[in-house]
Amino acid sequence: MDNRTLPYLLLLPATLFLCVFFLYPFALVAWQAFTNEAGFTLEHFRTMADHWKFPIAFWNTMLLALAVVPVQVVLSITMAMMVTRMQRGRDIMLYIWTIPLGISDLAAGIIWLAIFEQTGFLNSMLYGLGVIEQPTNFLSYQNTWVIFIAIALAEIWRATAIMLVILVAGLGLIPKEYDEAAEVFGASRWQRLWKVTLPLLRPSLQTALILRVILAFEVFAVVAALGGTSLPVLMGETYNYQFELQDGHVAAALALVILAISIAFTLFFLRVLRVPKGAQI
Amino acid sequence: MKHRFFQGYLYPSYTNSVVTKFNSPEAVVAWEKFRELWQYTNPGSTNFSFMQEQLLSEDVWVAFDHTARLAEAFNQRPDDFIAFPAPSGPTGRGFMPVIAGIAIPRTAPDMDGSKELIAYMMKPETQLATLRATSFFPVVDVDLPDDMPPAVQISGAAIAKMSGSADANPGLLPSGLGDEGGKFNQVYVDTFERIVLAGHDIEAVLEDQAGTLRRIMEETGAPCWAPDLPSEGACPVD
Amino acid sequence: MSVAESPKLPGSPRRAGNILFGATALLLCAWVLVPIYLLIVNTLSSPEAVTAFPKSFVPGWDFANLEFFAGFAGILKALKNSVLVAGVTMLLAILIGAPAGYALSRFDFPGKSAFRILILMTRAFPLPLLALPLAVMFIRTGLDDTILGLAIVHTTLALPFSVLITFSLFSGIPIELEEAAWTLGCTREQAFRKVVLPLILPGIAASAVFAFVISWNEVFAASVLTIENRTLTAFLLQSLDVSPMHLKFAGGFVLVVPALIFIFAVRKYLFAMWGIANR
Repeated sequence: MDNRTLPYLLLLPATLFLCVFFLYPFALVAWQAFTNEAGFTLEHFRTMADHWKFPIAFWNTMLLALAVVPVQVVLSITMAMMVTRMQRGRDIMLYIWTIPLGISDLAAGIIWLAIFEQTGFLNSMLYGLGVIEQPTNFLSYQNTWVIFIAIALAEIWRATAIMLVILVAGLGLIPKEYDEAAEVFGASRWQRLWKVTLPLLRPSLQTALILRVILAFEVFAVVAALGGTSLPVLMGETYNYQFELQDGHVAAALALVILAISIAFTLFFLRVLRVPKGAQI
Repeated sequence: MKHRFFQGYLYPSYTNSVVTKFNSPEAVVAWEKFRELWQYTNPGSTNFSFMQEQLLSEDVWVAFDHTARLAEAFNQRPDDFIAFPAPSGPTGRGFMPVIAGIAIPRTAPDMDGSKELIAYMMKPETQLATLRATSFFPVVDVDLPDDMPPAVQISGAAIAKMSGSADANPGLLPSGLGDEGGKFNQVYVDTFERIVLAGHDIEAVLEDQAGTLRRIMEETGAPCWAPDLPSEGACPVD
Repeated sequence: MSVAESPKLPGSPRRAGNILFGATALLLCAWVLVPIYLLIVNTLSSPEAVTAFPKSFVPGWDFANLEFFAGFAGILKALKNSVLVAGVTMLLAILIGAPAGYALSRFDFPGKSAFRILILMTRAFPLPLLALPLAVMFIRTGLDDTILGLAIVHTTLALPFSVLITFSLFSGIPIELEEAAWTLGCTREQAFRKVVLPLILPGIAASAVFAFVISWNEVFAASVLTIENRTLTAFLLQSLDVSPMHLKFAGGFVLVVPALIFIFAVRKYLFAMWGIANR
């Protein structure tokens, strides 16, 4: 088989599958966002943008991603580097660190609710330490920034494992010789990390970042569990329009906004962390 | 149940209206009063939805909710909780009894079966069994036996007192809205969140939300329901 | 302070470094485990203890909350459905995804970036909205309320993961290895089977695990697309919606424990993937 048709043949099943089960329904939804009984319209986008909660939801979503993802990058790189250095207890450590991988966002929201609720463990601990005299309500609409922190912590807790796994796999693919050579030439551990390992890790880092950022824009169940309606996010508003307000048009418009942001960030990471063909391992 | 509180209790008690006087001086007074009262509520309450839980855990001592959502509090601790009628305002004691209608579509495949089902649902025994299990009160004339669960006895007495009071001002559930019902409710919830939680200016919010409300009423063409006066065509928003 | 003096002692900075290293590792373990432990405490305490204050940090060994769930009719069937759907999703995601991952890593061809964007778009679009048009489509084709129908939706969710993971795995295997096999007389297909596949298999297993877990945890499409054949998450969501706090925690526990067991059960495969890291 010649090399011109083979890639297309390999892509065929995935492409067909996505055309039928993703692109087709997606086109129906996108159509909904731009039409009403009369034909083409931007009315639904206007309704969406005019709602007083839209800017709040938009910025909450962006700020959450901005607060969560960088911490996750640092944390997952640290953990991945530690794993490669570890001699004893490595297997059990990996098992523990990847546990959140199997935990759904709904369950993660419930877990952190147990900590932050008014009779929860954080209140009990602070009370036991004598810091507070009576339980405070952390998750009230009056201090949304505490809700914000709680959600960010839950997200960091839940979704760092996936980056960790991708990075550990990526690290394993970098031949040890590069690092050893750098060491022979007297590079410090810090220099080797910045000049050798991280640049070589770029493909994995790119994959991990794109996946993570896209998922960060779709944060929903954790927010619903911890913040209720006090901290609106885009995905929550989408649900609300679709299922509470029964307005598929505006829900579709919101979904397209989420899609647009995601694509913008994907292109950004594809560009910034571009791996030149010749520079691949 | 926030939206029901505004539609069935706050607005009727202050404006004798739900839709028509949504944006009126009386409504401004209502929201001012409500904002003032809000400081005495549990700040976590924006996320409460089943008030029996908060009553039992003593997060709150006074609660407003549907009888069915309070039943467990009365059943578990009948001596600790009392039920009382909704308070009254300048235009009476607004409250929202639920009146349901049952219909069979002309195209129903099994007409006789449907009729039998409805007849079964309307039987006093079925209604009593429903009341026992869910605290939904009978819609047909039934004598309540004495062995009802505490929730039924306690809330039943309060409801009787409320509907029998001299200034009773019952309002109906919103009707004629079709699938815009969710949006209609959202107008009231949004108004609450903006005025009370976000502290926006009352007049400006009412003006803005009245526009949304007017659009919904005109799109659906839903006529007014009590306590608003009957209307020709869509219920107007002044 | 001994910290200031330590550089003078040979071997001591290394030891201090090791202690710091170990402490960090343990701290990160605690960061993962403590929240789960607290959930377990709540689950195994009586309803009164859950809302009591201050709260005990050890479980009260009260199984009433869990008994409530165990007593639910149909929970075993839901469990079986979840496993079946996740299994089919896993198979589909790998069979469809891995060839695409290989093509993306080995070839340069027109339309490559368009395909990558298409793959990412599937993850960038809120899937629940797609569940509605899909439900209509499934009813027409008889796929509604079936294991396969739901597995197909879950596959659209899992596919970007399997494509991207296999892509980065294949990218990590030097093409020179394959080329060497070709020069030694292997066909493209033989070289792939004998050289690349053994290297990549553990990684494939790991990405299959992802697909499984994604399907296992998916709540929304499962609730929209199944009626009789509810999966565990859809089943729990229905009962959680109307439950008080202590039952929510028990529900969370029921969601988490299978995931713990599952990751533990396949750790061999996960570790096999990390076996590459040992190379």
